Amino acid sequence: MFNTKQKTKKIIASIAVFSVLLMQLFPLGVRALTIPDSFINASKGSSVSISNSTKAGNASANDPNGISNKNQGPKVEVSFSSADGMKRGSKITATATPSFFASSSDIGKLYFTWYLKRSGCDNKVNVANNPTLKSKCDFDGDDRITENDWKIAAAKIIASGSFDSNETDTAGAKVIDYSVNVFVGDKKSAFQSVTSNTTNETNWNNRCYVQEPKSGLIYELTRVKQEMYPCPAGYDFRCVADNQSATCDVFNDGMIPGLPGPYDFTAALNSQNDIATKTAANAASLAYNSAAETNLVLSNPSDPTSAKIIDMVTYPAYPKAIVAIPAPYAVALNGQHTTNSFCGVVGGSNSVYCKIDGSDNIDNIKIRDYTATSTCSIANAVPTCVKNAGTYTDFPGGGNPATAVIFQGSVCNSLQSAPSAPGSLILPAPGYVPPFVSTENSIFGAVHGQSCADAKNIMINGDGTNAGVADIDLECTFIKDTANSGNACKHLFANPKLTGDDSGDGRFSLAEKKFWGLDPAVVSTRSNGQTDEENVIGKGIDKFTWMFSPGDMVGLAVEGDSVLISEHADASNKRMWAFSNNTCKALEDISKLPLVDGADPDNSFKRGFYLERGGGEKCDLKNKSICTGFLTAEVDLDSCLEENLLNPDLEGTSKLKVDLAANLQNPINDPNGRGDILTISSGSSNASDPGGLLYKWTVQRSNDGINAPTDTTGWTDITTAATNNDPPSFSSSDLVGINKKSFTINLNLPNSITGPISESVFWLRFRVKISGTSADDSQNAEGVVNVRVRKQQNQIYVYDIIASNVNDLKLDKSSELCGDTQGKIRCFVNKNAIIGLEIPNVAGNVVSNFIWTVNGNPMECRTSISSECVLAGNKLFFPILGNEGEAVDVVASGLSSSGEKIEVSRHFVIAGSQLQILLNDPNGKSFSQLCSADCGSSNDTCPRYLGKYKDIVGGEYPDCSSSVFETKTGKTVSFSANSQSGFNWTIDGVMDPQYSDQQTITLPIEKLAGSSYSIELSSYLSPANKAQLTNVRLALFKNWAISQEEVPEENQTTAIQLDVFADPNATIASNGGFGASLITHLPEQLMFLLKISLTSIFILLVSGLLFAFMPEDIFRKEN
Amino acid sequence: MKIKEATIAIFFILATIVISIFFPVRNDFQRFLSTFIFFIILPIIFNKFFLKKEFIKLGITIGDYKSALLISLYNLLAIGLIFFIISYYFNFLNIYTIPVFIVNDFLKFVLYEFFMVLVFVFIYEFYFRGFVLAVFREKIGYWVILLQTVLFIAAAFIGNKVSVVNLLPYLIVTPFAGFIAYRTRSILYSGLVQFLVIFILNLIVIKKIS
Repeated sequence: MFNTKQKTKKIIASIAVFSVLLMQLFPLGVRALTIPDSFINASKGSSVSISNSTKAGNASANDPNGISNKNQGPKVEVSFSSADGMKRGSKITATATPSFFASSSDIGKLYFTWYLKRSGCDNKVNVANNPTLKSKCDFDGDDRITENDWKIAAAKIIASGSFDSNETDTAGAKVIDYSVNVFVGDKKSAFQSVTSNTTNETNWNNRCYVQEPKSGLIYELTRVKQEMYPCPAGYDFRCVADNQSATCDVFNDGMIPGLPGPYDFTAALNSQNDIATKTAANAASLAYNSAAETNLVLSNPSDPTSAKIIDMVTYPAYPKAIVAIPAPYAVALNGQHTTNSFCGVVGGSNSVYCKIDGSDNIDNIKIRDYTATSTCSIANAVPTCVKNAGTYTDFPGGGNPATAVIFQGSVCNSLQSAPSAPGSLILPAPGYVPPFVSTENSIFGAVHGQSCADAKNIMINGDGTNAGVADIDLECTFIKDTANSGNACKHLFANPKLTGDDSGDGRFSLAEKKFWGLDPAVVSTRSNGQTDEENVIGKGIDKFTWMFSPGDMVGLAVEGDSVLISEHADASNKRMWAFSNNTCKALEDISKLPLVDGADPDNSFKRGFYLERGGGEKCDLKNKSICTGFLTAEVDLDSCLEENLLNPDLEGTSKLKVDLAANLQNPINDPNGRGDILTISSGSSNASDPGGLLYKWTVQRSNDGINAPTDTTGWTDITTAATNNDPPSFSSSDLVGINKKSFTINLNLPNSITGPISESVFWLRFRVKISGTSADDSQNAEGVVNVRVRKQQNQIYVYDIIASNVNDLKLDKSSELCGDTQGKIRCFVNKNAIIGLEIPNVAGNVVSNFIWTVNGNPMECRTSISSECVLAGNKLFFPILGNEGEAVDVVASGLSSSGEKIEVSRHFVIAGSQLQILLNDPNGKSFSQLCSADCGSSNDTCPRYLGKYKDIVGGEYPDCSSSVFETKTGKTVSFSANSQSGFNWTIDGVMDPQYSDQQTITLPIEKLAGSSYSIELSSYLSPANKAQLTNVRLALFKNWAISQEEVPEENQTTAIQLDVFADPNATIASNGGFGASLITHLPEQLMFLLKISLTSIFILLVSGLLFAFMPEDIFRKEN
Repeated sequence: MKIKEATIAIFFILATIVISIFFPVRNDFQRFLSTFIFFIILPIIFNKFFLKKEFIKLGITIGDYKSALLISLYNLLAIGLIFFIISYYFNFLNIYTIPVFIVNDFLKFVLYEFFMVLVFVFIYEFYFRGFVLAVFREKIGYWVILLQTVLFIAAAFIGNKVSVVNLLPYLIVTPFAGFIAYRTRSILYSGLVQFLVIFILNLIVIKKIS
């Protein structure tokens, strides 16, 4: 017996031994160790690690029949090296280090498709009309620069080595003449030599795979098509739908309202009887006559032509007459009846197609569990198998009553045929209605209104009494589309596009030799042990050396069998590709490809799956557990090449070096503009002309939040966002320039850039890229520095105070001061006022042990000042001492619960009066939005534009007057006061009572252009405010010894000027005649004089008329 | 004066007052011009062609200046007493407003008083204490003082957007000015009293604010 401890030890030991054995099964762990650390990682992908390798292998081993997104597909890393640095004309060698290939250790089994993009040879450019680019870039002669041209550019260098096909002799004639030289030929096929006589060769022709990098899912590059499984014998697949009905002709016994008169059943019966009688009589007559004719005898038996004689004794009535058969009673169906609803066929087999279940979400599911369902292209119809004879499919067959029925064909003719055809001998009883039409007395009475789903379900699963017919559940799946170019596998080899001479086809012709510029006299121009074709297709070519010129970019695609074993029932590995940048957007977007759909006859470039049994046989859907599923997709891997171009100038080694250093450690960022100003300084080395270096700065933010960045940290570029910040954290002109060795950023980044405020710190990465002049061979270098930035999570809130008559100050939480954006930057306060400050604790980050300083002098909140004060607390009351215009800076330091030292500050400016007249824009625009040089063109009223000013980092801002505004005649302007006290408004020296105590006034502009309004606002204290003022005086005197003579002013006044200017958008009447134009343009004052003159004359005229016509004695008589 | 002329004069006075109130003006210049024409020019023309009285009858005369000044002084004291009372009991000086721009600038104060206040005081004196009194004094005697007061108050309330508080000095002075003009047959003394009241009042308010 073992005790528990011993048991545990044994279990652990067993697991360890098992793990060691398991690890030995996978060679890639060893391969991963062989990746040279000394190489500079030129790819963007992360390095391969042993743990990754093991993980991939384990995942594959654990799930051999299904899909596991834990598998790691092939990768390749490319490094550049040069003895002379990245200089024009120097030889650069790119070295590939593939991994996760089954034959990574034997690179001879891999195909390295190098491609070289020279400067200017941009993809997809039409060069038909550009002979210079055509000769430089278009190697395959299709008048278009494509990835194939890049491949040819590299393959020519690889295959030819040092061989020069254009070499000329002293006479100028070409040494190599492809027309006369003896062509050795190429007996050794290139591609097939690798895979011939192996299973891989067969598999390669059918299968290759790509991996979607995000999910890790592996797709087989092939096209699939639908496979509908047939219905059982006697059934066809159809689309059926609910609520089908038919309108059938019925006999009318006169009881159906609205139909023609009653059908005469007696006449019909008599007619039928008469026809029957006469038909029978005619038959008897014909038989009689026939018998008589048969018994004719010759009158002269020796003369066969003699007349015949009838035995009139035997047939005295010959011939018997044949009477005409009367027309039957016109069986006119004089009524119609609509059936009740039922499930019926609405579409044929061509309406049924196969569709993958579950919309686009086919990730992370065992592929063999995927189900494709037959679907109808007709709305609201479901597919099912129905009998291919008869007019309905019922269940149980012939049962009465039926529990499930699906009608098909002519419903009206089902069951008993209605006597719709004249002559029918079946005469139904009066009032006959086909049984299925009537809801009564019908074997289908129980299935009226039955849905197709119910009918189908009962038919398949039975009705509880009778077993179902499972085979009628129409099933489908997808299979590989071997026709119509369904195999999407293709090599990425450079293709010379010569007729019948593809690269890697096992045949290397003289035309190919000439195209590639190879020696026709030898099998291997490079003499590297490989044929020319093998070199052209990059077999085992893991190094590529070429002569560098600025702008060159190099890429690589490696093809080979990956470490991933194929799920097909053979010994193959998955044939896959790796790209130099280990990225491919086309692969990342595979999940966005539409799903295959049986309704689409093409299904190209879609995503899907197929099921297969061992040996490539069709999967029996009733027994899917023995099938294997394969995700499929169709992508053009050539589209991956451009994004995998590497810039050796950046990726490779360079002489130039640059180092960065920040002047602050743990600076503070404050969105309210009170953050630190951080300066990043750079120091370059090995530059011949340091003063001529071009600096390009970028700023990035870590995506890892508060965590210190690592090599795998993702970074978000915030350069543009910080430039667009208001105010900008730095000017865009600071980003690029000659000899811009330092970079300064105002840490006022908003939370939208720095991340959630709950995170106390974030990391910034400053990156500078320097480009040397020609003196430095145009080399580049890049420097990076990461800076940990603390966030200003806490804020000082400014409140008015309530001074009680017991000399106890309290914060007036209902009256926060300077809470707006501008106020948080610069808070204007009244001289000798007392203000209260508070730093509320942020949830989860309690700050304590505050030390307050005002203009550098320590200040504390004593309990004698306020009962709200505590020692080293988060509140402070202090008086604003100083003269108008002076600044007061308050700084509070404390220690947060997370151990961070926090420092919060507010900037106050002593102002003469806080009373302000604010412009109310009808469109809700703020003062800053209205402050622009062209404000008047699109707004009725604007602050006067004064010019521009520059901030600390050089950003320019418009500056406008807050006391002079401009408007136009005829407009209406609204102003408001910024405080809540009582108000008196005076317009042009006249106090307008309608505006008395109005916080907002509306002023119609009636003055002409050139004139102006003077608007004054005075506020006065209410009695309650006066009492408050007295208490403030007391508090000032008691706590800070400020005499009562220095109290704040009781009344405040302010004034603005509103200038009226001509409306630039005003239109001039132009369609009127001369008179109208004259009137329109008469000066306003002249018009006024004309009006007042006419009015005066009118008054005098009326007075004169009264005087002339009023009788003298009119009043005397009355008296 | 005959009843016929008096009747037509009533029509004329009402017409000029009503039309001057509602005549559209767009700025201070037009307001001044409108007031000047309706309250100065038209009355002069009306007087010349309809009433056919001498211009001097409209109160543009010095007359017996000694007694006139004495009457003015008594009235001024009475007015001062009234202002003292309403200031003392009704806090008048704290709610009476004056243009802000005259508070801090003495030159502006002088220009305002002599080119704004004085001019409008003269116009109103000419019309209400000169023209109205000249038309009706012979017919209704002392009642003309009440008539011109009523007309002035009606015109002031209907036509002005100024608060009652700021109209108060004019309303208080109007009957006294009418009495002075009636007794002295000159508008110069009533105008002087009116102007002095406004002037002194503004001075007091400025002093109080400063």
